[in-house]
Amino acid sequence: MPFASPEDPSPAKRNARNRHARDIWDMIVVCALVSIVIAIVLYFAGAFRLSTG
Amino acid sequence: MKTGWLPDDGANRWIEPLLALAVLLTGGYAIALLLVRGGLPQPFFYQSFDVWMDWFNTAFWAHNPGAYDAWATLYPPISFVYLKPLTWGPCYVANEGWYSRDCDLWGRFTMHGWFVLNIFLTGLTFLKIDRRTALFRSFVVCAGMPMLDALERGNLLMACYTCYLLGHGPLLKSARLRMLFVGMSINFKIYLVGTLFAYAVRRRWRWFEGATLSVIAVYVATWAMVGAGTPKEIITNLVAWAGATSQPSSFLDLWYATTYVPVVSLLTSQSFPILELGGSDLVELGAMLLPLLTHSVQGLIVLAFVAAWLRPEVVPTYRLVNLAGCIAMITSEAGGYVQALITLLTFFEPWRGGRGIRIAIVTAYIVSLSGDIYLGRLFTVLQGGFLNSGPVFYTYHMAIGPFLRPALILLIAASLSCTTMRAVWRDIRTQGWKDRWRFRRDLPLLTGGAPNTETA
Repeated sequence: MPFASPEDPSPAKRNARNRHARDIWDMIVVCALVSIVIAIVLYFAGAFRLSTG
Repeated sequence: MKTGWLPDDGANRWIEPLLALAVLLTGGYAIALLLVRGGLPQPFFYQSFDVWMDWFNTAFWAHNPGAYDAWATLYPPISFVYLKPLTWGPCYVANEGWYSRDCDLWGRFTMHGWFVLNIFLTGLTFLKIDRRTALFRSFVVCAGMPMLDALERGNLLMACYTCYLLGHGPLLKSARLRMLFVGMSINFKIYLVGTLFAYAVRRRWRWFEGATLSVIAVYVATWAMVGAGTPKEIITNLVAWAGATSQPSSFLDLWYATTYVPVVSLLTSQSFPILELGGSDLVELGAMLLPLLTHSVQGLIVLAFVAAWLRPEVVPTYRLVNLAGCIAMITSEAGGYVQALITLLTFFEPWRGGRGIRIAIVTAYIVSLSGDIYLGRLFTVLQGGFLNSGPVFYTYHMAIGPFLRPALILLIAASLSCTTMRAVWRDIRTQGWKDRWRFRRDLPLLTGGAPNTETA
């Protein structure tokens, strides 16, 4: 499709965009899980108790 | 095209997953020790109460004047511009110190949020480069010892890393944005200034000029925002700092060293009875061989740059950026967390790139292992821990890491340099010099973008 418009991309380009969108969602889920892990570790280590003052 | 989450490249199908598993296990062990014993193991910072203080000490001076005269900092002004909105000003009214850390919950949130942002960007970057190794490499960069050390210190390397990744990685398409991030990364960590020359060696003049202007523009803009941090102030503080660090060091300087500078300093100073323990032969041999080793690898990097100048098209830019960063990081001691920058760009390399590349990749995994191998116990002290909000019995060990880790960093630099020279040599052997006029239409330096219309 030599004259394809940006609204109508080639299948390869569309697949790449979909894959990139899926990657972004996957990474958001990973980051949410990592945030939970960090919070759990800090909580059980005791970092939320104010130790200095 | 096959897809999946495991590398499919012969031995690498198992090597990288196993090495990543080792990084996971050692990181899990460090966290288990934190939960059980109250403190992170060596080589995490040796004062359990000083956790995150690179972030909160710097934040105090972001909210108060005097960073360059009272604190005598070497940080360019961007550090203070960056930290001001990410920390809570009313917590920094008295003096820099631990009380601010307790008060500033916003600062704790943003610091960890930035760490998570780096994970997000790193994951996307490696998914773009190679999906089959992305899981392992992004995990090791983000959860390896160097990045965990940066998080434990709350060091601004985390901010520098973001800029380094966006400036040199494939995520951004806009060249101007990438140049801006390159400029910001150099403003965060001055020793990265050599990375600019990777573009010059690659004959990417627009990039070289744009990134150089970006460094200057970011510096001037942040200087104007802070109202302090003139070049004279920074140079004065740098000279004073160099004078202070030239004093004899203690064994604590070895803690998480990435160069042989502290080891040589310890061997040649009188602050630790190394002569009595090891004998004069060991001291003389070490004081001669270790600098020789470092200088040899520096020479290899310079030769690799010369080779890349001859045939820039066979050397990827990220490798030259990595080597330029390496030469700074093996020359002066900048803290163990800087290894995150080296491992990041080393993992941009494909496993099939050659034997030297494979050695560099495996070594990058090894330096990312959390923990150390202890040679012997020195002493145990009772400290106040911060992360456990209570006492910690902290044992100081003499470990193998400070002696081995610099060698591993040198090995990465040497492997990448040799691979570069080999690629150039092979290109010259196969293609000769007949096509060397291929760059005759390149933009010359400092033309303002006008194409060279001269014919050969």
